[in-house]
Amino acid sequence: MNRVVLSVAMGPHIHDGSHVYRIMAGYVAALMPAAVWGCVHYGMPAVRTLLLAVGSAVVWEGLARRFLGRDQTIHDGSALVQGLLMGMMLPANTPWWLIIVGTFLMIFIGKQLFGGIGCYPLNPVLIGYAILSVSWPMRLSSHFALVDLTLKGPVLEPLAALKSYGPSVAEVYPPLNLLLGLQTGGIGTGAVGLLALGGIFLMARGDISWRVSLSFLLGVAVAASIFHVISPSRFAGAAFHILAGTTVFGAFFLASDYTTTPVYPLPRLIYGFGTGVLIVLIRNLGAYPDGTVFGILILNLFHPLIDRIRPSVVGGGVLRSGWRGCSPHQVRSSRSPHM
Amino acid sequence: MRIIREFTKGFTTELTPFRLVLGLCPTLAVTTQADNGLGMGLATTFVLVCSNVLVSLLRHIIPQKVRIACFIVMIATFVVAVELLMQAFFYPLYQRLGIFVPLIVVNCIILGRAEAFASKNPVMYSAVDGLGIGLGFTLSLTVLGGIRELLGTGALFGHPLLGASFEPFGFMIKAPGAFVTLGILLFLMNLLTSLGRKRAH
Repeated sequence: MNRVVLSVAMGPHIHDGSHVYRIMAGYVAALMPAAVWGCVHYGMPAVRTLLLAVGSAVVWEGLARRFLGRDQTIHDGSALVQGLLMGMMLPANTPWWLIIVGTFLMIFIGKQLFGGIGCYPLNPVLIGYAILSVSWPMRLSSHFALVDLTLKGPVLEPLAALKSYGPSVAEVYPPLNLLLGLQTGGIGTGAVGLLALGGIFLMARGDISWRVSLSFLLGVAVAASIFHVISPSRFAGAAFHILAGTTVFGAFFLASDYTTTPVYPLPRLIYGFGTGVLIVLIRNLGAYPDGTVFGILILNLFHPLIDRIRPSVVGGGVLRSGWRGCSPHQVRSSRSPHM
Repeated sequence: MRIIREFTKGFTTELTPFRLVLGLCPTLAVTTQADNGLGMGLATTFVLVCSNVLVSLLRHIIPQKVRIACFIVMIATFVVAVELLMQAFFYPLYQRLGIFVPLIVVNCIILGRAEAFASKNPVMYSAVDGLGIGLGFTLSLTVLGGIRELLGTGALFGHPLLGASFEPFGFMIKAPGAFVTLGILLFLMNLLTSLGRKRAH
């Protein structure tokens, strides 16, 4: 007897021939303007930090895959993009050992121990950055780290200033300056306008979901406006919260990571909005000046759960209620034993 | 010799936190320094040896149905003893370990050894079993605490080792550092075991 073996493969079944590195090339192109601007603004130390972060991330990726005995993924560009993202979040004159430790934590603990690209539960860039910022807070807060460099514009980070001196500092940071990137912070997180252009490029290319990024910004705006309306003397407005710190960087490049965002449209909106609200809550009520890192990490933890929120299938409810209706006797007898 | 085997198994096949993955609560909570781990491990060892001996002595008298309650009463007695001894002789250590000294009562290693070993074996073997398991636990906690203390503060047993230019890796002495270190140690133990098995083939 002939036995026919039919195997059912997981989707997707139609493939257009593109590859991970096509998406990663898009990410690099989108990040480049802000990275170049950071290098111009902070000078050679920034170039050194970015190159070291990218290089060490790629090397760690190769070593980790070899050590764990898995297929080599060094060429797919994901480690390169993650190294670049990590480097752009660091202050320009971060010590070399801190960059190497950070990319090690990112690639090895955040990414490869869980199986590499497509498998990690939390964004590795944020894992690496969060561990660094918990361990060496003084090295990572820009106004302490950048004390050796001469800079244009106010030296204090906008969000740290907000935390210390209240919303009146918003006058020191005009929105246009923030948009152009005249703010202290990570190398590539300050140039908000260029980052937004990069994000729009990625959305137009279809590489990241507009649902996550735009609902993220909407969440920040709504939550910040509510706080601002309740007490304008204590909380800054929506524009400041969106333009200052890592909000835009997080919205377009960190929260939109494929592996750690929900798949379905409605969950994506909820995920983005929730992240934005949480970030404003951490900034306004928490101890940290900027909540982007921890806000996105917390929502990353919940993304599989959020992905279960789906509209019910049309007609799906009929089947279920019909099935329940199959045993009317049981329902009647259990409700009224005297009838 | 069986007696040697009962002793060494506490360091090899039944190394508590890394092989049996038991007693993780003190393992994760108190190992911010090597001496905390050592003190916690020795206190547990004391309770473990005493409770194993007593359970083994009374194993024919304790009724089967109420044995768990009887074991807990005996263990609790020794925990109170160790608590008072630590207050008398090692007060700073007692203060650092805090609530985790009384919580030795509910450490599942001790009840586990009473139930699985001491209630079925003669006194001599039970004492040796308790000593081996307890010292294995002590060793694991000291190693874990040593790694975390060395990276997290640059010192070992309170003596600075890594020099003034070392900037402490503060994450290691925080709670998530305990989980990450434990995970990496488990990973290394499993790696060594699988390599050893491969070599044997």
